Amino acid sequence: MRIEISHKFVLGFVVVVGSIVFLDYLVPVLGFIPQSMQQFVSTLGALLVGLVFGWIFSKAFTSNIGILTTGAERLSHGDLSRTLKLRKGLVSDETEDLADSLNLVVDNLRKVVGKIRTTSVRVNESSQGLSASAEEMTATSHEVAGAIEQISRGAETQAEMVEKVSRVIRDLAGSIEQITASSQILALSSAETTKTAKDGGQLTDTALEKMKLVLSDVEGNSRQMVSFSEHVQKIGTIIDVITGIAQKTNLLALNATIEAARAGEYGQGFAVVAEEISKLADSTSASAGEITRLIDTTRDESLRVHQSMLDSVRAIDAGRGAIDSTSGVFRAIIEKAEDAQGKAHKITALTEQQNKNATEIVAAIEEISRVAEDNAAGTEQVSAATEEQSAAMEELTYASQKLAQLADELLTTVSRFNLGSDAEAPA
Amino acid sequence: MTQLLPFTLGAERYALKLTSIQEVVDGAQLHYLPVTPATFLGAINVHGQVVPVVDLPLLLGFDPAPVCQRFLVLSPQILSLALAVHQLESVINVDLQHLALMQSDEPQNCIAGVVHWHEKMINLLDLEQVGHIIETQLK
Amino acid sequence: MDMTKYKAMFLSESREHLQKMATLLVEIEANPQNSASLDALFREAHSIKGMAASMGYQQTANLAHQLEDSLDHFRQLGQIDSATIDRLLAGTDLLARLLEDIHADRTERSTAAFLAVPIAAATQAAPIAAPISAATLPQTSEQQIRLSLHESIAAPGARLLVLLKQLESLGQILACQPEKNRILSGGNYRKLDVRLKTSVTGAEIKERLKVYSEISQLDIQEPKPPTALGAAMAGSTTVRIPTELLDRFIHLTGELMTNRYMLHSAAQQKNWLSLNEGLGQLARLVKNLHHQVLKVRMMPVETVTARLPRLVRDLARTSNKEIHLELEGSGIELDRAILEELTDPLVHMVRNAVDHGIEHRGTIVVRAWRQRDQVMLQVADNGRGMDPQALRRQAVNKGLITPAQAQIMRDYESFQLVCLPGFSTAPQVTATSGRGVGMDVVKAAVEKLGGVLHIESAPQQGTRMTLKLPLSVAILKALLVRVDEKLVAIPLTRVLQTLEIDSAQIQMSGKHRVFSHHEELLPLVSLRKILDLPNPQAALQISVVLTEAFGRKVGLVVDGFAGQREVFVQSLPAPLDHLKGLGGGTILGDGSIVFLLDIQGILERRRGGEPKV
Repeated sequence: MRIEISHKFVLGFVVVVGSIVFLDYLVPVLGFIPQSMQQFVSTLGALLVGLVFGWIFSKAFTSNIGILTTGAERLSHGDLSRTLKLRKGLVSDETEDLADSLNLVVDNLRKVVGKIRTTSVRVNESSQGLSASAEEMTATSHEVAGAIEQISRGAETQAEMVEKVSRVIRDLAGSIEQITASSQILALSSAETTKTAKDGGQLTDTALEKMKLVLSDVEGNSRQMVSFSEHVQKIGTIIDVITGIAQKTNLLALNATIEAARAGEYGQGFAVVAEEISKLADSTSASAGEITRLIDTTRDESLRVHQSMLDSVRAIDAGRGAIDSTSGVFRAIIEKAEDAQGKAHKITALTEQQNKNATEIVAAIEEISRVAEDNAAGTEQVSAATEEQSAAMEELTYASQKLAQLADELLTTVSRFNLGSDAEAPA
Repeated sequence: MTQLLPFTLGAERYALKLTSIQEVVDGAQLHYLPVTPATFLGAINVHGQVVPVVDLPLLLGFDPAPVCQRFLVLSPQILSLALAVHQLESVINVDLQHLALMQSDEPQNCIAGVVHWHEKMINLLDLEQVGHIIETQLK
Repeated sequence: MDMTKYKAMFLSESREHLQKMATLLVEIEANPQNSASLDALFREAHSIKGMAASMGYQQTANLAHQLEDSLDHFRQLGQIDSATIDRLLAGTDLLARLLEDIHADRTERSTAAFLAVPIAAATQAAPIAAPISAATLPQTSEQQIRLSLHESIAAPGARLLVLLKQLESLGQILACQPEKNRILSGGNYRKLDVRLKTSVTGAEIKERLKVYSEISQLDIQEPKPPTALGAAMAGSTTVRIPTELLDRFIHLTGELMTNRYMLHSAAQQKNWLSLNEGLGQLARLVKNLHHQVLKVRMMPVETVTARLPRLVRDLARTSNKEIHLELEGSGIELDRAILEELTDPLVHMVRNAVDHGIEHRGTIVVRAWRQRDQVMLQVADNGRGMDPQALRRQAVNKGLITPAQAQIMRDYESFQLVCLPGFSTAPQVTATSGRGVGMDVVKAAVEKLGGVLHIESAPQQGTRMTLKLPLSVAILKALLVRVDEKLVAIPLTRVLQTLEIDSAQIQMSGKHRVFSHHEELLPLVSLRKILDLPNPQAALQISVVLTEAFGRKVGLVVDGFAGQREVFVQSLPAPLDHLKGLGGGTILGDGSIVFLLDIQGILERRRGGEPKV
């Protein structure tokens, strides 16, 4: 039953009053009590009732208030672990409500604190973690910064090297140009040589032509001699044929004689003819023999003439040979000069090519150089950025540390609260 | 008067009656004649006939006949052969009454008789004997 | 001049008539009632008489007349007896000899003796007279005697006269070279060539003349039996050709002449196309000509077998045996040249069969048949047969083979022993054979023709002698082989196969090289070696000609093959014709000469004729 306190007071009063009243009624009822003491007893009684009630009531009330007060005191000390338990009374009143509310407050506070605690623990952890990561990151970014430094430095070195290379290339280009120049000179000189040699060749050619004319004259004569000799040879061959025929005729005559002999008397006339033929063949042979001898003599003489002609021809040939070889020499020179010219041209072409290549390389190198510089700049930027980041990271670290600190403080603060053996214990 | 064809065999002079000879061939190609002894030089083509050639000097014990020359083709009625000799000479006319028939101890010489002619001695070749010698060689 | 032409014709025709008569007579003997044959006989005799009379050959005409008369008589009679047949046969024989005389330009021999005995009347005296007056060849024969005197003896002429006198005492001198007169007139002769008609055998003559030491060489030959065909073929220069064939020849000649002009003008114009055409035509014409000529040359085997009935009959009579002769395949045609050469061998073989083969009675079969491109001619009897053992013994006894050879000799080789000269198992020389000159001549003749002689026999089972002959001896197919850069030819009929073998296939068997062919081990013979040519370089591939020698297969190693040709073979002249191993020669298209080899012959020569491989 819930009776508000006020009610309870009222009631009390009522009771008392009532009791008085009652008593007033009662006592007289009672008969024993004397009516001089009846009012006293009534009043005493009322007082007693009133006292009793008042004691009961105020006890309860006071105890509750006392619990409440204890509770609140506890709470002010941060002990959130207990709930207020009021005395269960028959009648509940606002103190109960107050207890309830106070319990509720404690509960909620407990919860909140518990949560805060948990959360702050977590935060602590996180911040520690964060701090750790931040440290890592700091370290890393230091590293990066370091690397970037290196790169930067490297880039600088590269730039230097590029410069160096570039310089070398430029030198090369320079020397190539020199070569080009000299090969051009070479080409020129070999052209001159060619020309000179050609002139020389022409001169010898003319000389040669003249010699050839002379030679052909001589050869013409020689050929006449040869053909004469050949005719003589031919005659010889024909004479051989004739001799052969004569021999064959002889053989035929012999066979004819044999046939004639076989024919017996009928062959006699034939035998005579055969003999004549044989004689004829013999005389032919003889004449052929004479002619052969004449031919031989003629042949010998013509051979001699032929020989001397051959000698002159040979001398002329020698002279021609010499000229030929001179001409040959000139030709060789011309060839070589042309060759050299050609080669010089080639060299020029090549060197021009080289030159071009070198220029291209230079350009490329310069590109690289630029790029390297850009790189360097870039890396510088990166380096700076990294530094910033590093600083930021340090701040972060610091902040997180602070956070951790705060979290710790919070935790500490919160830990003042006693949450009892609740499950709200920090995890 | 008989006509003889003289030829030399070594240092000796022999001769044959013209009637024993069919013809003289020149430059005939010698073809291989197998199975025969060395006295057969080969065979020649005479007007489409196959005629074996015998080295006469070799047959009679002289030095072999020189290479490539004229062969004496004998009359087929006597011997179907051709003979190689050392040197052929020109036809001579001889009176055979002056022929002294030989009675030689050596039938190997194949001499049927000897004839004087212009201070020279000419042996008449005995073809039958030649045939016999060849036959003996072929056995 | 004219007469000689007619003489040749007369002789050729008369011989034919005689041959027909002989055949008819034998037929009639078997079949005495055959009137058609009698008529034919009569006509033949009549023809001969007419011709002889018109030619002026009196003796011949007379004889023919007598025969004709007697035949007329018997023809009217319708039959004839065997004694008369004998007489008539004798008459034909005499006629044959008369023809010979005419052929040799001799005066005809006298027929008086013969005519004296009338044919009809001789019937009574027949049994006795028959053997005598049958005048069969063995009784009086003709011998060709050639003798030469030593070079060293004196007075050769006189000695010859003495010898001549001796011979005269032995018989009748039919011909003598040099003539007696010449010797008498003092010619310097050392040689004598006499044809003697005598009843004395050649051996006896030799004996008689042995006393004369001055004789350096004595040759006695029995000339061929002068029956119709032998003489006809030996001496005849004419041959009968159907006019149709002649027409063809004329035609061909005409075409050849046209072809010649065509070739000539084509060559002049250098028109090769025409030339080629012309040459093609020429080839065709030549081939045609070849065929026609071959046809002319071909004669039926009958030509040689026709005389056999008569021969067998006579032989049977003289030896008192009953022999039946069968002729088969007489229509098969062979080259004349071959037939000519076969006449004697056949006679020898038949004689042998009669004498040695058949004891008392039996049958002789003479068969001819074609086998691929060869003609087989076989004389078979069903008589005694030959015992190889006995043959071997005989050969050893006669010193023809050594006992060692006899030991390893096989039976089929032993039969070939009968072909060795000097071999004869007949204990005595009979009139018909046994002189030991028969079979070697046969074998030589056969091999000379490029053929082979096979002899098969068994005791009591008869003997079979087979001649394997090429169709034509003149034109035959030959395999050209190269040996030491030279060409030689082997008749294709002797070539079994041509092979190329690896040198690795050659094995040694003792001292001889052999190689394996179709699971047989065959000996290898190097042609270079047997021709005494230098050894070849070793080669990986060896060319081998598979041929037969001594009945066995043999591989002949040559350098290489040079193709097959159909060649026209010329037989070699004496003395090379008896050279064993050398066949004829032929001229190839390019004018070169190639000789045919008889491998077996060469091998025989090298081994001295021993019949072992």
